Amino acid sequence: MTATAVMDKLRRNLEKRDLDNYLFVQASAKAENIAVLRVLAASFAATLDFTLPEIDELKGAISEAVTNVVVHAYPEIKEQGLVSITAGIKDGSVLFVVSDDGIGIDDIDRARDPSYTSKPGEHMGLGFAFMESFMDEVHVESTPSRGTSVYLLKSPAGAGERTGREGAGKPAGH
Amino acid sequence: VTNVEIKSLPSMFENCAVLKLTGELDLHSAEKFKAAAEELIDWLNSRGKPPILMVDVSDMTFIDSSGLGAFLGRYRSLRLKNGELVLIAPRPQVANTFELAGLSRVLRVYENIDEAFLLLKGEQVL
Repeated sequence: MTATAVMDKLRRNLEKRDLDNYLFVQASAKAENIAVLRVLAASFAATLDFTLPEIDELKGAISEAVTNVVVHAYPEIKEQGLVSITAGIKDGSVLFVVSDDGIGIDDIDRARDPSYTSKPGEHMGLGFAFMESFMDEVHVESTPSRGTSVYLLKSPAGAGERTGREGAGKPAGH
Repeated sequence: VTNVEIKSLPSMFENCAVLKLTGELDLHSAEKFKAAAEELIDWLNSRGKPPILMVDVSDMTFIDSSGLGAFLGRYRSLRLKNGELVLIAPRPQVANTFELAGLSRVLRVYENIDEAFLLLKGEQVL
């Protein structure tokens, strides 16, 4: 199954709450919570058979998605906005949805272009490029003044091989 | 550890300062790094020769694009004075992230501080 097909399937599973494991967390969209959320998300994913480098990639992708919310989503709100992560595990894959109720993204294609940043200076504009590099599939939905949801899918790269070699459902030997 | 600790290490050369970063560098912790690095760069700029800032990242366990942005900003301030930003002993995750952003092509990366001192002295940069 392609990553896009797995993403579609997990999105339906998430809507129906037909999951092997589920996580929901909401936090103030503050810079100090970026670490809290990436560590929590990585710990949730670590219940699957990911390698340590894959867990690092996952942490990287969550860090980028949450940073985008902290930096971009709530420019005019004096009191803090919120960022939420909804995550589901089904059939050995994990889907994270990083959401906000902020200003939304006008032009998603431009936002995903690695050479573009709306805040030049020390923001490199690489957030989405990193997410795409670290995850199997990235999908963005955004409505101006309603908010943005970033969908991030990852499956352990070795899962298929190990399952084939050692029998379905059996954990890989260490 | 989800935060960054910063320590200045002694350098045997007067146009060189060494910073050690421990932990995870992101949007939040990068602010501390920027402040500490800029203070050292200001001090180095008063020394006459082009400034060299070495950052020992051997105990840095994570960096994201905000952390990289902080390195890029310091690289730019050093280059204004013909200086260099030197990365010491990045772990694989950290090295990979620098590589992805194309930053490992512009920064000097060495395996340890002694090697950096030796090679930069050989080039008469120190």
